[in-house]
Parts: sequence; C-alpha cells; structure tokens
Amino acid sequence: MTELSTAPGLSTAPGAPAPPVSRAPGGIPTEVFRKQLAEFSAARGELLAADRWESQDPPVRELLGAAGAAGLFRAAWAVDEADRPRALWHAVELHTAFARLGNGAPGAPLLTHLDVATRLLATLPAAPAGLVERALDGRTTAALAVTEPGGAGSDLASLTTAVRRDKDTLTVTGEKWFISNAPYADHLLVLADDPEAVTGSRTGPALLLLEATAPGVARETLDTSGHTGLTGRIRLDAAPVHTVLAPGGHGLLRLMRHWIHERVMVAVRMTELASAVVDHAAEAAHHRRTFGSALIANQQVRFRLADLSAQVLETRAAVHHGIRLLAEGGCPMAYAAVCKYRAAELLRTAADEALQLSGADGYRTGHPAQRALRDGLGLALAGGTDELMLLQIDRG
Amino acid sequence: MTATLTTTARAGWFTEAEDRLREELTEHFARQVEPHIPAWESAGEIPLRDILTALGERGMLGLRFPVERGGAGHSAWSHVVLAECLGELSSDSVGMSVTVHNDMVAPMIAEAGGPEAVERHLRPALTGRHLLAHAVSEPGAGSDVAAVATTAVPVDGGYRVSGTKQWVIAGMYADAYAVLARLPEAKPPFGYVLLMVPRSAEGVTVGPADPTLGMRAAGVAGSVRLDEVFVPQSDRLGGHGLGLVTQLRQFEPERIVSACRALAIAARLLRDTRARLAERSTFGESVGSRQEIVFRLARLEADIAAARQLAYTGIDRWVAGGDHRTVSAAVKLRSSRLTRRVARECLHLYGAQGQLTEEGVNRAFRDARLFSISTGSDEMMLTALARLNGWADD
Repeated sequence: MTELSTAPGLSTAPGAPAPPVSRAPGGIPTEVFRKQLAEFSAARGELLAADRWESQDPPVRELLGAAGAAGLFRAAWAVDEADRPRALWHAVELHTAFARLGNGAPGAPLLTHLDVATRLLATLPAAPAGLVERALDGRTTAALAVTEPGGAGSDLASLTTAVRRDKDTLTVTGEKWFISNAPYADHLLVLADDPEAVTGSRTGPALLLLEATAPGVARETLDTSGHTGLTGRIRLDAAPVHTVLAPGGHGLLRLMRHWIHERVMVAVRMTELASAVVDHAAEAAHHRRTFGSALIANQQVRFRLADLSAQVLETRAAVHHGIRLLAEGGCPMAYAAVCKYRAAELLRTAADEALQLSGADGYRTGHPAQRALRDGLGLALAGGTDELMLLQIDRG
Repeated sequence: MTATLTTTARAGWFTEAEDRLREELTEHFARQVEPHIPAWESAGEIPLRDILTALGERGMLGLRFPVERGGAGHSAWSHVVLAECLGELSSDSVGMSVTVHNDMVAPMIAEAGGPEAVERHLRPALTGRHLLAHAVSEPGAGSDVAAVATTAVPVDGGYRVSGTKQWVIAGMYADAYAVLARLPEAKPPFGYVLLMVPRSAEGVTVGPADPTLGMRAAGVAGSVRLDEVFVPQSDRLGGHGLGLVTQLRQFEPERIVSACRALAIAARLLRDTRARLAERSTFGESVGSRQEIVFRLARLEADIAAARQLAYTGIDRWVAGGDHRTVSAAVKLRSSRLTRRVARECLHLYGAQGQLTEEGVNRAFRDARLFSISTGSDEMMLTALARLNGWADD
C-alpha cells in the first residue's frame, strides 16, 4: 500500500509538519463496485427476498448464476499477486453488501462459493483446468466436505472417511455432514484419510475432488435451525475420485493455509451481519412504542444499542486489519482466530440483544435478528469452533 | 499478550522511526523508572518532575506539537508509542500523571494558546520543568463539565477566577492548572473560558485528596481553591467564551491516547499473569496449562487485540483529519471496561498473593478502576455514542 511506504515518521525533517496521511487498512477505491452491488440488489429483489431463503430449497444456483453473470465474483478475484489487495477489499465490499440483503441469508452460499470452494481450488495446482473460471462465472460450484458425524468436527486427525484403491480407480467411503452448499454443488472437495498411501507416497489426510452426481454419492439437505436449506449430509459409498487435489499427508496442510483466509472472510460477514441487526434494531426502536413512548426514549435501550455499536466498530477494525494482513500475505493463524472468535461473539450478542429489543416480533421467522441469531450459532462452529480459535490464540 | 499478537496488531500502523522510539523509551523506563516504582508507591509519591525532566532531556515530550511551539513536528503516533510504553510501567500513577501533562493539558496550549501562554507554560512544560495538571472536576460537575460553578469575571487585562476544583490528578505536583470556568453570562456550550492558572498565583490553595482506591502516588489534589485569582488574558486558551468548546474538542483525541495506555496495561497484565501461571502448580499440574485458564486468557487476548485496532483506527482518523468522535467514545468505553476486566481476572488468578497491596497486579486492579470514571465515564461515552448515532435523548 502506497500510504504505508510514504507515511511520515520521526525521520521527517525537523519542523516539517506531518502531512495527514492515513495508515488505515484499505484505501482502495471500491465505490464503483459498491454501485454495481446496489444495482444488482435492486434488479434481483425477488431472488433476494428473505422468505425465499427460509425454505428448504433456497435459490442458491440461481443466485450464484446471477452473481457470476453480473461479474460480482470476478470483481473480488485477483488476476495476479499484485492485484490481491484490490480483490480482497472488493470481497469485503461484497460480503458487507450481502449481509444486508434477504436478512443476510443469501450471503452465506455466496461466501461458501467464492471464499471457501473457489478460493481453495485456486490454490491447488491439480484442480481440473477451467473449473475456477467456470466458478467465477457462477456456472459451477463446489462444496468443501470436511466435518464428519461422530466427533471429528474440530479434531480432523480422526477422520473415518477413507480413500482406497479399487483396481484402477480410487474410491472414497464415509460420511460427511454440515457441509455448506453440498445440496447445490457440482463437485465435492472431500478430506479423507489415506491409510494405505494410495494417493501419494504418504499416509494421512488427502484432499479429493469428486463429482457430486457420481455413483456412490448420496446427498440430503439437513434440517438445521440456521443456514436454512443450505447445509447437507453426504454419504459416500465407494464413490470414485475424479482428481487427487492434495495427496495423503498434504490435505490438512493445504486446508490450514486456506482456513486463515476463510476465517477472516467469515469474520467480515459475521461483523456485517451484526452491524445490520444493530442498525435494524435501532431503527425499529424509534417506531416501537411501550408505555406511551418510543422504545428509543429509554436510556437503557439507547445505552444497550450504543454498547453494541461500539462492539461493531471494534470488531470491524479488527477484521479489517486481518484483511490488511491477508493482502500483505502474512496473517498469522492466531490473528485469524482473533477475528473469527471476536466476530462470532459479537454476532451472538448483537443478534440476541436485537431480538430482545424487538419483543415478540423478533421471535418471528422472517425477522433479521432472529435469522442472524440462528445463522450465528452455526457460524461460531463453521470453519473452526470458538474453542479451536481460543486454542490457536493461546498458541500465539 | 503473546508476542505474535502484539507484533501483528502493530503491523502497518507504526513507522520504523516510531519503532525505534519505542525501543528507546522502553529501555529508558526499564532502567530509570520501573526499578523505583515499588519504593515510590510505598511512599505514596512519585518524583514527577524528575520523570518528566528526563523525558524532556531526551526530547520525548510534545513530539507531535509544531516545532515553532516547542514540539518536534511529528505525528500523534509518537504519542501513542509513549502511551503504550507508559502502560508497560507497573504504576499508573506514573502513566496517568505523564499523560495529564503531555497529552491532556499541553495539547490545549499547543493548539489554543497564544504566544505568551506558549512561552510561559508550554515550552517549559516540554522540558519537564513546568508541571501541568487539569483542574476541571468540581463537587457538582464531574462528567457534566458544563455544570462547573467556578466563575471567571472579566476585569481589565484578564479575569478574576473564584471556585473550587477537585480530583486533580498530579495536582499536588503541578506548577500550573488548566482551569475551566464559566463567565457570569454562560450559556452552554458558550460562555466559558479555559485559563492557565499558576499554582504560585495569589489566591490559589491546593490541598491533598482523601485516600483513594488506587492512583495512590499520583499526587491527587482533593481541592484546588481559587479565591479571586487574577489570570491575564494572555493565559487564556481559545477564545473568550469558547473554553468549553476548546475543552470538549481536546477530550476526543486524549481519550484515544488514554485508551492506548489502558490497552497496553491490559496486555502487560495478561503477559505477566501467563508467566506467573506457568510457574504456579496446583494438584501436581501447572495452572497455566489448564483448559479453563487457557480459554479465559485467550478470550481476553482476543478482546485486547480487537480493541487495539479500534484505538489505532481512531488515532488514524484523528491524524488524517477525519471525524473521530464516534471511535473516540467507542474505544474509551471498550478499553476502560476491558482493562478493568483484565485486571480483575488477573488479580483473581494471582491467588492470595494478589491480595497484597504491594503486588503489581493488586495496584493495577486498583489503578485501572479509574479508567471507567475519569476523562468521561462509561455512561458519558454511551450517551455520546447514542447521540452520535442520532438516537436523541430528549
């Protein structure tokens, strides 16, 4: 960032007042993209309507197709290394805008598509040619399948899903669940144990690409309290491997690097979801009347909202610093964990308090705070639980 | 805090020159100040003049003020470095007293003082030989500074000031006080004057405070009585009638700088507590390795890391000329509450030893309690935030 290299310090010539130069993260113009996002949301009101995202069959592929066709993914994608800061700040803009559309719900599959599946695929040289390009156009999408029932959530060393050689083909058998976008994916990026080193020269977790419609792959949508209709279970019964993305012993390492990016981006989304529900609660407190006056007339209500607004500012400052570190190529795992933990804590608190301030209306499905509360519970688990984040912070 | 998180938190915000300043200050404080703190605290008094003179001789006071006013023309980031180094000291009587001098009163003279006030008060203050304190609070006016009853009656060549100020940090050490007084016709926010009043002026009587929870060596003046004190017009900071406006404007940046000190205190306490718990064993196991403790400390680490970014964002907005009012109130609120919480949790984790008043963690707990009260209480910050968000309170 040019501001940083030209920032004046104590080496300034004596007497010369320091010119007002910002050292803050960002500083990359995103106004054009912001306008593009506003136009997209205005044109796609029906697709983004909150009630469509409360069904068990939300229009995920339609959204990804429309967003891809509108160039939203490419705007947030780096064409080369030097373009990375621009792309990251555009991704922040994307997730910030989508946190306020359709009660924030459509932003979830969008983030999974761009900043989980496509971003991970792009780091893997073995990924099939053209897959990332098609994903950026919104014509195909993948799901990252890591979590398993029966304990192997955060503890990924104890995978039961395994890859084996069956004559000339590699096949995978096992079960994954709580897999975002799984019901809508064309490809599955499956973390599986390779106990016999059939994918390479080492044993241990491998990362494999499977076609979602291949024989032996069965998917179902989970009935979850949050991320309605967006999360799936995958049963794999000798399902054929399409591509070995990372061989045995390398799969987890690839994911560890990827998760730094994912966690900071998820933290951006959680912070902006919290910001949206606090703003909504403040607006509603002007209209909701109790005992003859607007709710906002109560000092207690104003203080509660003020406290939440301070927490939003703080967490946003923290996650934007995380984006700066990503842009410079050096975000430590512990700092990504700070971002994700803080944002999860904020979203939980903000959604719960905003729901309370809305009374029974907030209890209703369709209310933004209620949706955020449900989604926030899942986000505190996805991509690394709060507890895992705390362990990583402790390790420094 | 862990070293990684501290380094990461500062990335991109500080220049190499500021990093060198930090090293220099750290070394100076470690050699010249920290070793004496237990004795000073035990005596209930710090040699503030010596501390400031040593800083002045090294050119470390007023770094951000214009050269023509005695400063070094650097940015406010150099004051953040000083604030964070002060937070590394185990006595906030030192940290707060230096902050009052260098970051609360001196800036008002640098920005709103006329040439004579600069010569009389600022230049000598930046050498460390003229000590400044802030006399704002009154028995009937704490956070509500507009309610001050101290009155300045305009007379030929200046003002006659009468009233009583209280809770003046470093008031027992100071040579001059910045005094906010109302004009006889005051109507908030206008009709106030901000005056530099020398302690030696006729009619000034300073008395010590009753014992306090913390800040026991901060030379807190319980009362600064002003009885028909004449103050020349040249010692007025800001325009006639604009004293409150000048004061309120100063509160915003000073709160962010103070937040940087508070968060440095919190980070230091956490680091020290970690080190202690690593050595402490119960039931055959290191206390620091227990999961409950690991998680508790990691939560505080995360909170400090996040609040630091808010503080740096606030400093940046201020330096770059942006609106920093909301960030200022937000970070004052967050850092005050957090530092208190960190101090309380660390005190507990020190076990019975933490109950000894001479223990650093005990002092930190007592000192840190003031953050949520002084320079704008938590409630004032919440009120300010609500107003700045447009949530009217009438």
